[in-house]
Amino acid sequence: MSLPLRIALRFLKRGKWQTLLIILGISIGVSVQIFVGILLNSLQSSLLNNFIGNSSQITIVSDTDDPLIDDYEDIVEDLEEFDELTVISVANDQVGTITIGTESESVLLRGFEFEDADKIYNIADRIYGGEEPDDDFEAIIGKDLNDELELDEGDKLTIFGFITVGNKTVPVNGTFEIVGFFDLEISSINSQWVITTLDSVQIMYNTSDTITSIEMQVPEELLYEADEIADEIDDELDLEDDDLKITNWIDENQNLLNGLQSQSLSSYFIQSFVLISVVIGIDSVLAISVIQKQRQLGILKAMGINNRTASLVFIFQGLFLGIGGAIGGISLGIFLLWGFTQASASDFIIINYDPIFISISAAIIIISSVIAALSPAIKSSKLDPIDIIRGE
Amino acid sequence: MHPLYNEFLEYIDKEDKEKCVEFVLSKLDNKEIDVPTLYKEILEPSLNKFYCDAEEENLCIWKEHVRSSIIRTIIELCYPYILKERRERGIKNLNKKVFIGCPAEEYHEIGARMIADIFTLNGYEAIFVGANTPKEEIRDAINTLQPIYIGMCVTNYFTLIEAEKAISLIKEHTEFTGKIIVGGQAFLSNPDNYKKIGADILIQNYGDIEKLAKEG
Amino acid sequence: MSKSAVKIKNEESIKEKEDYEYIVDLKHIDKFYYTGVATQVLFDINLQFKAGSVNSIVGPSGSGKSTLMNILGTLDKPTKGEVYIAGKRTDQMSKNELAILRNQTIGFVFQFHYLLPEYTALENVLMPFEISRQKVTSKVKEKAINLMKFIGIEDVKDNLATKMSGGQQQRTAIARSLMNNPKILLADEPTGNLDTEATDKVYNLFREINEKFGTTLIVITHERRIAEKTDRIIEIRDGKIHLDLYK
Repeated sequence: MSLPLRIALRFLKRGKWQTLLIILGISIGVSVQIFVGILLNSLQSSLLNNFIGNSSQITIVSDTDDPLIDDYEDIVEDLEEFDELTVISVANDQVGTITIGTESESVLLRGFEFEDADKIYNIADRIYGGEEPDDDFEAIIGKDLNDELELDEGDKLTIFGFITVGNKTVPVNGTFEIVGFFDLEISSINSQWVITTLDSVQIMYNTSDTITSIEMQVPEELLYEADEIADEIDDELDLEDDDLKITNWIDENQNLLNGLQSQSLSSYFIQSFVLISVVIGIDSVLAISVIQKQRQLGILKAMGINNRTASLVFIFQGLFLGIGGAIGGISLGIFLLWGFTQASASDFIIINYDPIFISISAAIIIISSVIAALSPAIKSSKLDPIDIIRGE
Repeated sequence: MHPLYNEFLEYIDKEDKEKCVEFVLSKLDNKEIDVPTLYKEILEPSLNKFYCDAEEENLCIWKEHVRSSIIRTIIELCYPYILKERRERGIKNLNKKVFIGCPAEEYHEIGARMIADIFTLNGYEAIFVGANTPKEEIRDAINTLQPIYIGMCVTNYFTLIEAEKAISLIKEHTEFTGKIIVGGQAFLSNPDNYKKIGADILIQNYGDIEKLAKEG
Repeated sequence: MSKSAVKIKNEESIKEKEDYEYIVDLKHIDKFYYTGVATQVLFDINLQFKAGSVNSIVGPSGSGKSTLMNILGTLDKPTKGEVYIAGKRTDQMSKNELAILRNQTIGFVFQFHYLLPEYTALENVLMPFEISRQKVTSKVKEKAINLMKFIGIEDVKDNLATKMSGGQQQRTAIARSLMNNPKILLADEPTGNLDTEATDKVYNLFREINEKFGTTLIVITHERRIAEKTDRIIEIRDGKIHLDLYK
């Protein structure tokens, strides 16, 4: 072990309480930074998971008054060329009404290729009674809707709709066997969606082999690039020529995004201020330490330690305080987060103890500590032993 | 070595003051020895060549003090013999005053007393002011006494510094025009030191004082 | 440092020995301090010390003797003049060169002990060796302990510097100053706040060190007990050498 390192350790060890106090100080700062950072990150990813993760992130729909899309298989084939797309799911959505008692209520009848749609909406796992719709005119309904309908598995539900033939509007209806119930945790979905097979909708609304939308998802790390990916698809497939348009979640959720961004910003602010105060703390403690240890430095220099070694003593002290503070702060921060999840009943936020974030925080605090030690180190280097020896 | 030295040493080693005094006085009375020889060859060596066991340093100091005290008594008793010897030798009174003393912090005065006696024997009027004399006192004494010589005995070599201070004060603040004489153990191994402290003459033996008297 | 490097270094230093007449040689040293106005504290000091000699510097406070000592120890630089330590001119060396020179050539003993309170007596004694960036082997440790035995403080070797009497601290500082076999031991009022008994012990130690190791001793002191026993007394007055007496 090098001499300045050992001297630094000894100085810290002999000033035990002072050292512990400053490490505690740094730890509290770091723990706040870790707590705020991880909590807000987790909050964001929970938000995204809930609202964006289980929904279509890029959607292709008709650009004309006629919502139906023909020849969608070619488009899907083209889309499959894009590596950025993890899920491609087609849907035929139609508005219908149902009768509850004397009232009629509108529902959204969603015809899916169930396996594809499940990748977006994660439905299968959230069916709490029964099973997924498989055959024609089998359907599942949301929890909220069933709270009103009070249906059981195997019960029938008739949905009324209209189709336009020429200039006339013609009523249609279909009777569905309810094979299960889902809870997608969003009340508008739970109260409005009726999920069935694509064929059922095409048959009921007599739309032959058409759909109304192609829904897509991108990998999580490309979530914020959904708009760019959508543009790329648009350019590549010339959707306009087919009277189609492409939308993405970013353009459609600008408010949510703004909210998330300002949350991030405020989180960075808090973290930066905490960091600055930690650095100032270390700097001032070490600056005082240089004054406290002036005598010792004078003796050491008289005995022949060079200026580099004298300054390294303080760099190492900064480093050790930083490491101590990082370890203490991370432990305390994780403890606080654990306490927070215990105290809050909601399981909306899933705390993500992101090892990368924690490592970066630790690295920043350690590097900052070393930087904070620079000016004391320079002071120590410049200290002239003669001033100490003459000063007595 | 003087034939009487060993016998004297035997008595003084036992701290036997009575025997020491009786022995010396009888030898002076019998003219077996004269005062300068007594000083030079018996008293001085018994003071200087004092064996001291470092382990018993404290013991040494009291022994040295007893020894000094015995020798001091003998020196006091020698004064009538000095006067007698001067008469017998037919030495005239030179009518010249000599100041004899030790500088500040010099506590060894026996050498200075002996020197004073030798000056007396050589016809001078020797005035002995004692050990550890502050320089200002020396200055005042010089101004009052107007001596022809100033004699300063320095035993400890550190007190050469004090001697120098006294000498420069005398040179700057008195009208003394005579010679400054120094002597003592401090010059033993490095006689040149006398010049460095500003003295004019270094006395290394009693003969130097006789010579001085003859030169006038 | 490798063994052969150490060997070469030793050979070099033996060669150097033949190159100089005096272990310390000051030529025409002037020293000014600038605190608003320039104050001259040393005036054309010429002073040489023979290797293996025992010297004391005395003088009233403010006479410049501490400044002289600090220049001797390369802690301070003269405003004018040349300083040679063991044949090497030091007044033009860099700070790092001086640090190495001090570590290898000069042992310091100060009035206010200046031990490192964070370290035990033994660790303090070992410090100059550690500063020389060599490995502390059990042999080196043994040497330190032997030094402490020689100086009579082995019983307190594991005490923290703060847990020792003044005399013990000063003797620890002396043992420390000897750790790298310095050619020169500089002591500035080493007994300044010790009682008579401890003062005598320290002095006797200096003598023994000089006899055993041949170390050149230069002691600033106002203690007559110390000065009167050195072979040479240099009195500084008003920034000049007023007296230079050899025993």
